[in-house]
Amino acid sequence: MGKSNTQEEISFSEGDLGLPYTVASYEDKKVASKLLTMGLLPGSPIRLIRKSLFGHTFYVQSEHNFFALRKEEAATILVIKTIALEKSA
Amino acid sequence: MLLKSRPKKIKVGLIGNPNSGKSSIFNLLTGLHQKIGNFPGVTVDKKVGQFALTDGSNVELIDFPGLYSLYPNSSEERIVVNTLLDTHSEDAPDMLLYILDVTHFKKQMLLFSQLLDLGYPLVLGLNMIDIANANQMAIDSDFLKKETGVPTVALSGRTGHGIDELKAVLSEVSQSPPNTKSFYSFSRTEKEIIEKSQKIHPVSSSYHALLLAHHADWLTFLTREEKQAYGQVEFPRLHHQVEETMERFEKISPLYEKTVKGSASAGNILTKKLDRIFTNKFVGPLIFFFIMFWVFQAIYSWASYPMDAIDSLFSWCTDLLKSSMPPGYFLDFLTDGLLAGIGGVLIFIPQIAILFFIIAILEEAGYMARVVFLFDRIMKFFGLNGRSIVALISSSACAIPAIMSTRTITNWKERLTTIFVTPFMSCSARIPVYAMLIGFAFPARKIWGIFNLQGLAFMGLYVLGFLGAIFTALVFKLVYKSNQKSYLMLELPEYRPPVMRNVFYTVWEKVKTFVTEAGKIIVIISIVLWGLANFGRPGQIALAKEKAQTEAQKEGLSSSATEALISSKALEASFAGDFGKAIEPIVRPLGFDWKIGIALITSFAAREVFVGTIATIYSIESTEELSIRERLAKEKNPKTGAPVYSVATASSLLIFYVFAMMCMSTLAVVRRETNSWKWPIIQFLVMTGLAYGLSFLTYSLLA
Repeated sequence: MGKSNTQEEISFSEGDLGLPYTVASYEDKKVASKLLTMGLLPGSPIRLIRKSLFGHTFYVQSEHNFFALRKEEAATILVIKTIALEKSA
Repeated sequence: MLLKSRPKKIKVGLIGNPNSGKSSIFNLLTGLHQKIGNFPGVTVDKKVGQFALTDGSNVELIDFPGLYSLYPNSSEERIVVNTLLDTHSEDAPDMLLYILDVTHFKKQMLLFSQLLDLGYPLVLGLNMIDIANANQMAIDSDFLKKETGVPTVALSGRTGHGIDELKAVLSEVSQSPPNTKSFYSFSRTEKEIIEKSQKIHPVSSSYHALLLAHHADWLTFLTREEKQAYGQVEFPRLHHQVEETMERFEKISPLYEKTVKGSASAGNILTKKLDRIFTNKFVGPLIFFFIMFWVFQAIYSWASYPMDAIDSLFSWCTDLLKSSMPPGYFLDFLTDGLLAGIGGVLIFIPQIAILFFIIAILEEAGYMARVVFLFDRIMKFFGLNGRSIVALISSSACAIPAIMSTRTITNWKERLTTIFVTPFMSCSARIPVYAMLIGFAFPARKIWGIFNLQGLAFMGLYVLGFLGAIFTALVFKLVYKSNQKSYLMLELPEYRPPVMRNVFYTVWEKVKTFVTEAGKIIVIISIVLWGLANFGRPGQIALAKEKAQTEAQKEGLSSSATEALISSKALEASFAGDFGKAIEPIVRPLGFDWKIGIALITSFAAREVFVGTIATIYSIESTEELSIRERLAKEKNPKTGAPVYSVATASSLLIFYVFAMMCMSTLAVVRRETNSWKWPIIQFLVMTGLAYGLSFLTYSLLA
């Protein structure tokens, strides 16, 4: 269901800590359904703030909202690097 | 969905996102006029409150569980959608009050826009206006009203701002619902689906029809034929949901930009800063354990003062009754049956109140979501939830408030597992039993010069209970199959100072629920236990008392010793005594005799009753643990002459008390929380079975 994009899509769980990404698409229906309802849409900015002790739980920010995601859940979110130099909140 | 003209009673559904401050508004509107029930057939809280409008009509406000959209993901959210789509349901509201946190306007407009299309008369409450003002945000609610047609009211759940205006607007809308505009434009495929849906189950709005087709699988009010018909309708569900949500947000964005100026960034920045500490991978868990240690201390030590007061009050009442009424069964029933039962219920209130006072503060402040973040992984491994850790730790004070605290776990399997294993944790009622028995199992000596062996053993019993809990959870995870997959995906709300009014209502609600729901069962079982200990086969007790009297006279016992001997013999002759003797063959492999058997039965009222029963059965005049221990040490097996309380028996009994489900109050609460007798019965069998097996093993190894 993702839109084709010229940039390389990576799984969010492979992304770097602290860098800004943009949600491209979702690979898992359930995860997609839930995150959409929480306002995390394709095109939304997303950033990994920190990981829990063994790295299995992600602390994630999107605009003014913070979320906790499991690594497996984050793995189903496909993202692209945000190139624009905009500073996110 | 038309309203009757001038309704006397209006049903209003209170809807909003989690963390929208919905419950603050609910508490402000209804005060103490709230009732907790369950939605039909499910164990999801249904909070209903009453209040009057200025026009004299009465509002019944139903507080629905928080949800993000009409595409639900949890069973709690499904209930809301099921109720809203089933217009013939007894819970279906006449109109809706949507509460929206203005500092998260954009995100929370999604559900509002869906409700708008669903067709219920709506009132929009713009909550957290105090925070918006403090951040110099400007909200153009007139513009919003013009664009959507929905009357809006600026509210503050913290200060109570706007509540009177809200009541006036509710009254207006209930009399003449305004014309609202539809929000979403349907695609061609959606229109086709709507047309088909309207033929299967006709409803008044197109969006309603679309949602019926989307959710037909699990909606409870559709007939089998209707579901089959919906099964024929081709519907790319997720694709449609994505498209719809995207389009809604595309329309919400310009609306947001014109309505809201500025943002509440201060709270956001503060939250980020605090979370650097609170969710830090090393410091975070340490802070949590420090908080929990403090919670444990609070339940354990603060609660002892009010608990002692309740205890004294009841013994005062008992004494008063005994001095003013003629002795007999009726007096005994009143004092030892009924009063003891009621006292047994009230004694838990301080612990419940203190635990929920602290939990509600942590929850209100936004901290509990962080606990889930910190412990999700490890708890998930054992089939539990990040929040389970709070229940497990607080249950080392008492399992009852701990089990009640699992309501915040939305995944049913994880919640059930937590409820199931929580009573393994050694609660404070086990302490007197441990204290009395540990001396028989372990000598008082030092290990490596510093550790007191008995102290270590005491800690070991706690660790055993904890291991029992998590490994049972693991087994439960493997045995109990559930098709409800577990997800985390949790919003971490901003930290906010707790609204103390909400904290108070939470404590009140928990105490009230415990007293009215579990309390009834506890009182009934206490009375039954009293009956068992005070009645026997016809004539037996009188005969036993007579014999004891003669025996005492023969041996020239003092009056208090005589009385002790009489109650001991009377208890032996009672049904409880019969039971103790009847189960002796069953408990003998564990190293227990019939006297311990009786104490096992009576301690079902509360574990610490074990000590008192043992005192009675051995006709010990004092109930002080140390003197009981001295007396027990002298107790010899009549056949072998070996001490009854050998290392093997005492160890086996200790193990039994760690694992066995010996608390009727806990079972009553489990019944209430799972809404069936099935789980408390399984829990009783599993725990007591495990206790039996391990005690048997212990006794066989040591004897």
